[in-house]
Amino acid sequence: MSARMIIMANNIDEVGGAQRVAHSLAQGFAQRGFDVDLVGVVPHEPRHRFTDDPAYRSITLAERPLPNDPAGRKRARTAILRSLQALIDQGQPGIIITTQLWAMEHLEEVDHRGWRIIGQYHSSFEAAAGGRDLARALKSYADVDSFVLLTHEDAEAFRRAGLNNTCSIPNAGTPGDPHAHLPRSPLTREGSAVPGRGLGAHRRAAP
Amino acid sequence: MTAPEVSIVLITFNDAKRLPKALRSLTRQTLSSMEIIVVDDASTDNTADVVAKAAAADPRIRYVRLEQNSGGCSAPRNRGIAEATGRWVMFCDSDDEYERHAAKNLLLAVEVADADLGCGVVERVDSRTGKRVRWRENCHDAAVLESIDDRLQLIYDTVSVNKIYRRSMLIDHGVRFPEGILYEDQLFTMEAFVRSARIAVIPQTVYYWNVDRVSEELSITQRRREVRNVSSRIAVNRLIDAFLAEHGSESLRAAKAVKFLSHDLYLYLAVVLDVDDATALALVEELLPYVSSIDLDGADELRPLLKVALYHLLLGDIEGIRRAMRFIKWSASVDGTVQIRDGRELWVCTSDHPAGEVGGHPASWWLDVTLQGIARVPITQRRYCHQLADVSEGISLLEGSTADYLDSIADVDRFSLVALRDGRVVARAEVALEHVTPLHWEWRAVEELRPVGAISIGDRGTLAIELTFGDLVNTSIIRASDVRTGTTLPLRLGLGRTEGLHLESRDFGAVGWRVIRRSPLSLAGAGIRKAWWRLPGTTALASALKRLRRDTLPRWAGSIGSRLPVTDSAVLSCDHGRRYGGHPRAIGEYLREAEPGIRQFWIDSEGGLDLPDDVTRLDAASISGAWRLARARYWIDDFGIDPRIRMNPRTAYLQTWHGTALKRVGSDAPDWSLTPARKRQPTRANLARWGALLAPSEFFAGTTARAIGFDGPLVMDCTPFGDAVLAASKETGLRARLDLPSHRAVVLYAPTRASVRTGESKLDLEAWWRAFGDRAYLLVRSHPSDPLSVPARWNNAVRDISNEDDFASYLGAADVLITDYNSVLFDFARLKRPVGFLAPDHDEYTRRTVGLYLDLERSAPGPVLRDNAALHSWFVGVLNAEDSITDQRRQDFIPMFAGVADGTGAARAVAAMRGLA
Repeated sequence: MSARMIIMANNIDEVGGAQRVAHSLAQGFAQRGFDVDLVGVVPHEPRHRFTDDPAYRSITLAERPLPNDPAGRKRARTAILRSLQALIDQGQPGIIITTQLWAMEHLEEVDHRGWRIIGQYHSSFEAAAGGRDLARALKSYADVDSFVLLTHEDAEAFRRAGLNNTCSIPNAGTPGDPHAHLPRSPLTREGSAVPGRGLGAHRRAAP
Repeated sequence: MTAPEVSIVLITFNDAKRLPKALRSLTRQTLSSMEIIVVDDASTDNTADVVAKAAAADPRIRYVRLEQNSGGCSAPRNRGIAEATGRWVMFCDSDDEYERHAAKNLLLAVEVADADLGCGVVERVDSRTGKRVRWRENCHDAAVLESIDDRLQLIYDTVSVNKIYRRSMLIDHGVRFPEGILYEDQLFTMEAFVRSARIAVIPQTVYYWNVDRVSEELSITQRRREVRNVSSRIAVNRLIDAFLAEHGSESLRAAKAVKFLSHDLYLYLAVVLDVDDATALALVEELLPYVSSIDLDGADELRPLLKVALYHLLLGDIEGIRRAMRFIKWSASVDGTVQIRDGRELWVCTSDHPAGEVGGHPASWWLDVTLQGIARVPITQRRYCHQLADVSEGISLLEGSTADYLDSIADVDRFSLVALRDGRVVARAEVALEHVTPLHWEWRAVEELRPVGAISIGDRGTLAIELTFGDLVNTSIIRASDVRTGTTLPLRLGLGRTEGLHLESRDFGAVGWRVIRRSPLSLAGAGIRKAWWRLPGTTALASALKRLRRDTLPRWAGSIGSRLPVTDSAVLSCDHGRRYGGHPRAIGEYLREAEPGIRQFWIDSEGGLDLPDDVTRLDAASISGAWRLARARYWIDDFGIDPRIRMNPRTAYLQTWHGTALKRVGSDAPDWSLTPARKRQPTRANLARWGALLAPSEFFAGTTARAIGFDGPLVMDCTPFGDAVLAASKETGLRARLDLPSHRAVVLYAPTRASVRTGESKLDLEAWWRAFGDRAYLLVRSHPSDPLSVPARWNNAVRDISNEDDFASYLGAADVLITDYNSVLFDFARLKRPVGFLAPDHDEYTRRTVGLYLDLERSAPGPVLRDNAALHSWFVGVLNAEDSITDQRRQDFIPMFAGVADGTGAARAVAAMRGLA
């Protein structure tokens, strides 16, 4: 039986860089023989189809977007954690990759003993330090087996801020991307990032 | 089963309680290919059971027991090496822990580098507070070293537990821990360093060393006082010397000699300060034979006063050792004096010294403290050595002695004993002085300490002596080796109310005080208060009252006040009420001259600002604060007054802003889109209330003003602060007023705010002090969100002015500015003096992260310097008047970016304000 892998993102349906990365990883690992579940915490409408021939299962933990009232959110979160626990408890432990902080903050709450966890963060250290992300990352990612950043500088900066498990791997390239020397995304369809928002937006700020 | 990658040797003795924690830190490692060998030094507790239980859960754990207790760490560790089967070996003690990723990070480093040895950082963990301090991290920058000679500082890393060793290297060279001796790690690590073909250094923390600081301090001093301890340390040093004589390089031997002097010997010389003469003599006798036998040329690399202490050790002069060590242990207190001979500064030695050489060098070599520049410390910055005489219970008047720093005590206009709280005098007593020896004066308080400021029960502070020389005041803390606890002086706080000033020891020998209840009235009051709090509902009542006082009533006051007409008053604020400075201060000073009828209030959020007599302190969160704010004709502020504070519709609000941005701000900043609207500064609610904004230049209008989102009227080309800087630069006697040296270049270092608090200075302060201490005087202005520490031992050439409010005067006095991206650049540039941009992160900063509004390399009035070496060579050029930036570029910068200051800024700001009202 092939090894299990769970790849987690905040949501896996929206058109965006984070989702593209998650689907690329899922497809790539599935094609290399892993038994992959791609897990989104919350759903998003409309659902974008990233690839025509997924070799992995797509699962969304919450049935509908989170409600706005605190009590409803709390109930929804409990349900999300319950489904996540059920998914983790099926079969042998393997590897979990969390591509986003919020997803990691859910994983933290469930029992994942025996699993190896790889955490990712797709913004720069400066962007994290400019907001609340830094404190959240220092808390959630301190104990994971490996914390993967996009650049060596970011890995160094997080290391200086106190994390000892950092390393760096650039994202898979898109055709026409300046990083074309990197491995291509295995996806058969293009999901384009929304300009000026989301992952990597800060990198375009300077002239 | 295949052999594991790493064998971890965990040694233990009668520590079954803490052992599981240490074991857990090993079994939880992210590296899984390991064996854990617990070597039990014949414990008599249930260690065996604890290990058996852990081994049942994790088969990687093995238990080995020594037949007999060895009494040390060496035998168990050596046994562990013999038992190990892994390719790599690591060591752990049962009371400590490994960082979770330690084994993996170390293994990865040595495998990638093909090294024989890897080492990481140890963190000392205070077991009471949980506080962690990285230990000797300065030698742990990531590197692959071909040999220890490539980074000699590593010899200061003498513990064995933060390293990974190739087992074959230990076996082939017979590297083992010496048995039957203390400090076994020192020999082992030195041999391992020297025998390793390659060394990988990683910057990560690998080991948590749990220490109980309080009992450790006691036990270490206790132990250091024991002669056996000294002999052991010396024995290890002899073993290391013998090993290095055969296998070490010459530079390694020299470095080891310096390490012994600066580290091992230092520890014992520091002890001499605190022990009685007999113990001190015994220590000296134990140290002398070894110290006399080694090459002392390396003493030249020691801190000057440590070298002086070493000289007195060679002379066997205990008092001389103590006087020199006070400088080092007591935060640069000068217990003695210096004389200048042939341009060199010599420590004045009072013992009979032999005419010939001592330790291979003449007295003038030993006593040369030129680098320390004791004679060049400005008067206000000097650290006089005031020592408290023995005090005993029941006394009410203090006495002590003062070393005569450069024969200056006779020139003192006023000499008084003071109690300081947060640097302010809160109580004072006059003293009688007597010159007893050429070097020392004795003083004795002639009255009890009288309160002169707000002081109340529970306050804490230090005792000091205040010396007045004309307009300059020196305040140096009183110190003592040991303040007898339980000594309490009377402190009269009011009619018939005498409380106690309880004396206690603080760090660096400082004598501290705490106000305790002594009067029957206040003791009874405390009792009643305690009983009151025990009544049900009193806590809720108190918080309701507080809410009423700090929230409800101020809101009402603001609401009512803002409906009434405004009064002839102005409320000013700088940096959220944390400073008395900036544009608001400059405007306020002008307003006091031009319109004395307008009453001025200054927002003082922390209650410690030093305000002029005719400016009234305002607590914005109080009832009267809200009332004054709601009735003020003018608001003048440089940040944004809390939008919850009521503003009168008739109030004219002039926003001055706190500087022209160089770094991208507001909507131009990269994190703008990621910041929620309510957190953006200034908020929309702030912006809506500003009547006008000062704009020092077109450049400001086009960048800062636009990016922060202000679209109201701008007061163009207006910079009251810039005017104040220019005016200060022309003031005669400015340097004397600020107590700055007149014959040295005054350099201001003002870095910008860092994105993360680091406490690290881009400017290497120690290297600067060494290189330019004789020619330049450095003022350090660090950002409150990332304060830099400036040790007192550099007080001859470095001063921290981060908390000085009169920054305009310091800017005007500076000959040179060093900054990275601080907006102070624009105010300094108008002086047309040299500016250097020390910005190691410049390329990263401009291209990848934040981004700047101007191209420093093309337009700035000074060069971009990418490291400290570049800074030094540029500054040498500046001293020789050959700055590389043309005068033309400095000229052009003013109209293009800084804006011209014509001295009318404050007047035009006030006129603009009147137009708004």
